Amino acid sequence: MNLTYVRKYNRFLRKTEGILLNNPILTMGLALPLIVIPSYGLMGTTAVSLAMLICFVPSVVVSSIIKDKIPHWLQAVVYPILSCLLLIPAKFLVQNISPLIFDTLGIYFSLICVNSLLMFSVEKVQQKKPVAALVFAVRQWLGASLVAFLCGMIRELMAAGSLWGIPVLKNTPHFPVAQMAMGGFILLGFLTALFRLIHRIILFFTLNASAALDEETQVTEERGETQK
Amino acid sequence: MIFLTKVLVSFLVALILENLLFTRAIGIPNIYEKLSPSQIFTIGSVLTVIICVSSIPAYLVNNLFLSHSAFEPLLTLSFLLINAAVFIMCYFAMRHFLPKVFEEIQKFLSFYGVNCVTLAPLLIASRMSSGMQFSSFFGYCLGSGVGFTAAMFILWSIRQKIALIHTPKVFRGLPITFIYLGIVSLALFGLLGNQLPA
Repeated sequence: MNLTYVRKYNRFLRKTEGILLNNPILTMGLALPLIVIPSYGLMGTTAVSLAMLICFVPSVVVSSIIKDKIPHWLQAVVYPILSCLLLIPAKFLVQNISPLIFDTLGIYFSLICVNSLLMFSVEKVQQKKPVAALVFAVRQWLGASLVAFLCGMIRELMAAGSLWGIPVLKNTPHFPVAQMAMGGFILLGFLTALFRLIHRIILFFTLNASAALDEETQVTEERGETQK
Repeated sequence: MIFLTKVLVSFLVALILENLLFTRAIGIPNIYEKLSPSQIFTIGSVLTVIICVSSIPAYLVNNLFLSHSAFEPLLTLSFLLINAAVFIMCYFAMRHFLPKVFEEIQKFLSFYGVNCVTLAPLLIASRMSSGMQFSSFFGYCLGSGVGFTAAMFILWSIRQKIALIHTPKVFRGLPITFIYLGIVSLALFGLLGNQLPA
């Protein structure tokens, strides 16, 4: 069977490892507190994503440099502390987004330094070189941010009818429950299912297209033989 | 008596109304992976012990930092350092005194030791009230640990029930768990009372 399109699709997916393929949130539910609660709006999502970039990516790169030089039990302590130290400069950057951002984020800003994505990534980059670890960390961060922004956008639109505080949907009924934890959980559940469904549909069509291509080549071969 | 009442009230608030997983979405890595009830119990107990022991120095540090506002930005770091110290103590205590249990969860322990579940109750309790007494602080931390263990058991039972029913393929695993978590969270918000817009 001709699987040209399936291979092309798989090649494309492999290029997006961590973002579309094996997304840390949609496949493992990592960094959940940062996605479900602070991502009720675009401002909160941007703040969390920025802080994660500053804390998470350097910590993962450092872990790939240190590797197994420190015992396993100490690793669980060292990287969150390093990430927590990086949270201090991140705070200065994030406060430019909105003066009330820390009131709205609450404890979730502090929880960035101990999020489960950090520990997962630290485990994964133990055998990787620093550059590969940097690429891995950036991909994981991009994947998490993509889902967070999608969630934030949908939730803000549903709950307040606005985007980044700017009213977009004026005469539509609002759904305030979308900004609560339950709204985040349910939306994330449906988003995960939607991504899976899209993947299945694309696979179905690429398989059908490959089958059609297969038939076409068979017909042209047969024609060629009859002409001979 | 008053001490015990305060502990109990804070314990119940943290256990049910402000459950770490259902109302604050705070979980540990791999929470959605299949864990046996004994593993859940052991991990939950270790996390509860870490939170409860950490709450004692954390309360002292919190009071110190509240009186000196210059130290306030370092509150998270100090709580994290306390958590880390308690985790290391627990790690070696388990290795020496409970070698069988240690072997069972050794793989997860370093992964679960310092995480959102151990840090969040300390941060929440410190933010709840500046004049919070130790009884409330400790009760809240204890309730958070027990509440999180209970939430993990609820998740386990959900998984058992979902395995017996027909679920559409795209919803199997994580999506249905998220939706179920949302429904339980909705039930808890119903208990708290959600004011609907007029």
